[in-house]
Amino acid sequence: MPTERPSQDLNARDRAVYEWQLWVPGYGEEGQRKLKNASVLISRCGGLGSPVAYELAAAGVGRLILAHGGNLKPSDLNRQILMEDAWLGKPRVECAARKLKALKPDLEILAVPENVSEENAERLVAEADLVVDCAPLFEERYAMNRQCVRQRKPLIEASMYELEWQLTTMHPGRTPCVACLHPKKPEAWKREFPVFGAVSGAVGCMAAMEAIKVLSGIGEPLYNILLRGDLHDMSFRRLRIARNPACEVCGAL
Amino acid sequence: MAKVVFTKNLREHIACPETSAPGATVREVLDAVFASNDLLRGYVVDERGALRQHMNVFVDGANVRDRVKLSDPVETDSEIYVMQALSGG
Repeated sequence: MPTERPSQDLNARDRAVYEWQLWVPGYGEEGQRKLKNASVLISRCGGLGSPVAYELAAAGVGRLILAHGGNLKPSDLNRQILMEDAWLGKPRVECAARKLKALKPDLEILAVPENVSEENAERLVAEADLVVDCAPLFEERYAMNRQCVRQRKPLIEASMYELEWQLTTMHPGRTPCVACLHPKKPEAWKREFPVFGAVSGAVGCMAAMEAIKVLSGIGEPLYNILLRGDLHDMSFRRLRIARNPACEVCGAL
Repeated sequence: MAKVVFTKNLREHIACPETSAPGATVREVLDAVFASNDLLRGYVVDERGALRQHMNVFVDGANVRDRVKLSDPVETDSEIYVMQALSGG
């Protein structure tokens, strides 16, 4: 279970800040209250995770758990929009937390200077109501997936390469898990990959919207749908995906 | 003939232009494509002919059910979409 937080109602400040999204049909104060009382884990605050965190903070999610190791490098600055040039050489997750607090001073942040691994995934997932996976390595994604299945937590899976990206929303027992879709990683996958910030930013914003939908109950999340895009020609595909009954991770659910 | 589309990122590993090929199942269509491209065959399927575990194939937007025999039916105007897992973040 996430760290115990007393349920909070909206206050006058919330009603002022979120006024324009409270107008969204079907959302209203009840949806906003759900966001305010939600905890979301974001696995890495890089090209994808930065816009996810920023949009969720802007939308009023009450608590973010940010897992991101390492210090800021010049090559991060083309896409990691929570970072600042003046922070080069310092821990990235601290810069992300500072930027988010500047936007939302009352946002609760648990800044973890580690990437997700087999060692910490159980603890990190336990802190959250929902997870957004933005990691660049399959090993991190598989570790996160196993824990989300074990703890029955929804998982937004966002990934990209060059101008291509894909996005789906997983719910243990209702949809495929990461291992259903890709039991093994591509052998040729490399840690570093070609990327414009505009690509990771676009899919990051969509991943944040998926999280808002799942948490608030509005709209139709991408359950059993893999949304795939190619910004070379702005083509989008809605691909139907299904659980693998023989999946070693979620097949028993 | 069915249209066969490979995602662009696959082209970094192997020559795989969009093409068309005859066949009534995924297996038949892909075998026709692989006939002139053995490297592509080795990237998409294993030595038994089963889909490699990092690959996904969709027929008209639906994930294939049979990853081993690739027996899912294909119509003459179908599109077979071939992609692999991505993890960039």
